Amino acid sequence: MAFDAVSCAWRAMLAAVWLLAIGCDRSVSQPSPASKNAHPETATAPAAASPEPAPREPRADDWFADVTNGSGVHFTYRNGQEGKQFTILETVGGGVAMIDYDNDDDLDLFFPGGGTISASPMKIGGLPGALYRNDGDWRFVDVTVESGLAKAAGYTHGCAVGDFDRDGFPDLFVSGYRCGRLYRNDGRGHFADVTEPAGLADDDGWSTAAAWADVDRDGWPDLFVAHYLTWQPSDNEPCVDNSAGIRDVCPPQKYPGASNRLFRNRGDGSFDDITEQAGISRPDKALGVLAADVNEDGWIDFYVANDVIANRLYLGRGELRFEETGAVSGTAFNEFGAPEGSMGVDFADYNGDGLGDLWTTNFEMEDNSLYRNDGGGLFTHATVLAGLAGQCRPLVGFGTGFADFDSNGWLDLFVVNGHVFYRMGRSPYRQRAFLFRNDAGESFADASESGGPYFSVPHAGRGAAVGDLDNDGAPDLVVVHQNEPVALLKNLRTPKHWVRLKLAGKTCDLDAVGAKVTYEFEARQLARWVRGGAGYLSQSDLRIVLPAAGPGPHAVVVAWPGGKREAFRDLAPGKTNVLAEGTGESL
Amino acid sequence: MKASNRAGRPRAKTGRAWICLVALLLTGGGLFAWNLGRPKRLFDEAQEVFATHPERAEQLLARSIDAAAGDYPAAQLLRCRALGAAGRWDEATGLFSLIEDKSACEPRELARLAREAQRANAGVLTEMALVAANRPGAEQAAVLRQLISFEFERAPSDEALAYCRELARVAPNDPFPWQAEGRLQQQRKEAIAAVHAYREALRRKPNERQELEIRMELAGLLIDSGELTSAREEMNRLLANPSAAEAVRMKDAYLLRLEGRWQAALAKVQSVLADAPGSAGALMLRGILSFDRGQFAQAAEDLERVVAAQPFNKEAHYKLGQAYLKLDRPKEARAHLQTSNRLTELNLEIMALEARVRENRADRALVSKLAGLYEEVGRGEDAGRLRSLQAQN
Repeated sequence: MAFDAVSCAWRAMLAAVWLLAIGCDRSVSQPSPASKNAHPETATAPAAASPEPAPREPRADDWFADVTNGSGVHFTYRNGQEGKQFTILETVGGGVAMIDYDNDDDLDLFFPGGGTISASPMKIGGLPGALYRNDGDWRFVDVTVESGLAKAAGYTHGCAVGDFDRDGFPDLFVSGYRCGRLYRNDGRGHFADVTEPAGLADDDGWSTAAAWADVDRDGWPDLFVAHYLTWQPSDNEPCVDNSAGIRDVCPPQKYPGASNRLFRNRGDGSFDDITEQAGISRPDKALGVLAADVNEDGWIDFYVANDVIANRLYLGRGELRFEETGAVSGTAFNEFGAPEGSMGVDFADYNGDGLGDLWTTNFEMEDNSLYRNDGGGLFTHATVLAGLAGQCRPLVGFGTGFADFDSNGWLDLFVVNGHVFYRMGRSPYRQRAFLFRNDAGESFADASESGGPYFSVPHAGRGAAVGDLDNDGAPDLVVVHQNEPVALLKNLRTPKHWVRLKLAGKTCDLDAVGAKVTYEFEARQLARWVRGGAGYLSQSDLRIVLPAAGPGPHAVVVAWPGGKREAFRDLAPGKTNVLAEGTGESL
Repeated sequence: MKASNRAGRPRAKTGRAWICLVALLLTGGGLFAWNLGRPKRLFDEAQEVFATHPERAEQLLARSIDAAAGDYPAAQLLRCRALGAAGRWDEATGLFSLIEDKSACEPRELARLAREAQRANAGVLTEMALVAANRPGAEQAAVLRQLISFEFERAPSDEALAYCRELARVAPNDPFPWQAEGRLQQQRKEAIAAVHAYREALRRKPNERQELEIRMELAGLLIDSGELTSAREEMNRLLANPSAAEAVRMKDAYLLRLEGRWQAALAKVQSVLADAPGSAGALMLRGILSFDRGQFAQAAEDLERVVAAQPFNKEAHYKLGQAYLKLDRPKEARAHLQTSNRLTELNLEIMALEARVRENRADRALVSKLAGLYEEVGRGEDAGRLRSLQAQN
């Protein structure tokens, strides 16, 4: 018996050792039953896998017509997917700038080019962007070469338009992976890369969105550059879904964030990095940024849309200082206090109470977030209240913006969607864009069905800009996709009467970012802002288009950054009215 | 005589020798036969006393196995059970691993051992026995169900999904594997796959209780996925039952809010509170509905009761903080917002850690860290379960 017990104990011990060995082996290297046939390296993008559905036929009640074909714009942003390196760099995508570079009062288009990603060792290359001159009637001419923008600066993403030297010609900042570039417009149709002399070359991080705004009220626009992650090619470990046997890009949680940068314009063509001084140096994972006077105290504020961490509301406090108030203002999280994967951003008065509300597009299984401004620095998460819960929840939202597409005085919304994961997402890589009609400031209704053929098919959407490309008073759209031609969408709901404003700041920057325009329409007060940044990686029309009940004359009140208010009367309908600061009636 | 005696002596000697030889052979043969049958006899004897004297049975089985030169799968299996009955699960686990030909064990007996081991939280043995029992035959469906339930007790992994699919093949009309896959996909936040699985489960005519469970899960999932129209269809089916449970009415109230039907949502919550005045879920939703309507004092009142009852409810802390901000009580607001933020960060850390533990269950440091985090967010039961699993492994 004694022997029996010893023998049993010995066997048990042996078995335990064996079990341990088995356990270790299985937990580390043995493939799970479901993953036995995994071939992660063979993962391919859906572009090759799934046939593209055809858009539906146009209808008489469509809001938009896709006018890309025949416009002369044939540009495709390339994210380097074909290199099959599955880098997180590929997820960000590209944007578009509506920029009247030749000052002929129609909006031209600039597209950053993206880049290539090759293997062994991984090399990230740049592709040139493209500049298209608007010749009217939806005809655009490629002027990239003569404009000096044909040289690829690096792997690029976004763009922001601002007249940093106040010469009356809009300049261009282009963001990207370690390649942020400032291009000065010489007014003769040519851009020069002035990154080095401007002192911006030190920013060698991964920049995404950018916004111009005069933060110190010295009349020179300063530059906020949003940064996404601290990442380099050597960090690109494979992320594999074992159960499906698929390799895909890694999520942003795998990498540390990066500090945004704020550059003060010295007025002599150069900039100082005031990030630390401004108090915005904490690491973020920023994909969107908006500049506006959110709390209407006369100082520019920044709202930063972060991926997977809290969004930030940096309120300008003067003397180049900012205070972060995201959590205490109710603009950092979803309605239950959870951070979201935020991408696009905008600021506008959706409910007609005269206060600017904030909006972000978010990752899948999250609603997009509408933050209603209640005044006093407080916001209410109003997505559910505004009827915006649910529809976009399965999707990944990127480009977005408020605009009065049907010219009824209520700001509608568009959202461009597309997944970041090629195949590992819970929803498909290509996703439909959405159009929401504002029902008298109470709620939004899904109007995508009436949006037009473009809205009937899925795309890998990223950046988008809104602006009146044909100067007919109805805001149009330009949408950028991943590895798929951009789309130009003409707004078919042309208003009979309208007024367009172009603000010209004197004490603030020339574009008057942060200015607020109020205007009476159908016995209501409309409020509109000039916003810096906004959307996703894109620059929308800086001009303001207002609906009009009749031919006029019309009047508006402008609250310039800093608080000075002026009335402008006898505005001409159906054309652009330039409102120069100091030329109106002081109030 | 002498001569004949002399001649007869060798014959007698030879005869005795033959007798001895035959006797020897008979004895040897008998002994051989006796020995040959000994393991079986000991096994039979052990079976007889197993129910009343498991320790005696264990001794008999040990001898039986020795008599069979260590290779007697049925006895080894029964001895595992006997050791288990004596609380010696570690030894049972070791012994089970020494059974060379597990296919010689009856799947029914293996499943029985697994059930006993599972009841005693002997995770490794449970899994080994069930895996050995999982083979084509009449018992396979039952074994796979047991395997799936076992996997669900632990952090569900890829194995659980594979077993669900195997059971779906073995028992194509059984709703259980689809319901289990739905739950699994839901836990993984794979909404589309989960909805598909639940719908498949419903197609297989589940019983009334199962159907209610599945529709509840499905409705919740559809709400979470933003498919409000489909969620309403499921909800209406659930509400068709006149005795709809509190959980159904609560889910309906949440859906009504998302549909913008505030008055109806409030009425539904009030009906739940009438039956269960202290229901934290109902108080939470009433607080949210009050918040939506700008009735911040009423919202704060309800949410205060929620956080008192559920101090780890991060959503309630956040919403209460927001209500205090609206009521110009910034100090209290900050305290609740900070609590919410801390809990949110801990939960994010937990999610990340859970994924790592799923990949590597043997990492004791990881498991221990996860258990600690569970405790920090008030999930003591989960922490206890994890620690107990760790102890077994």
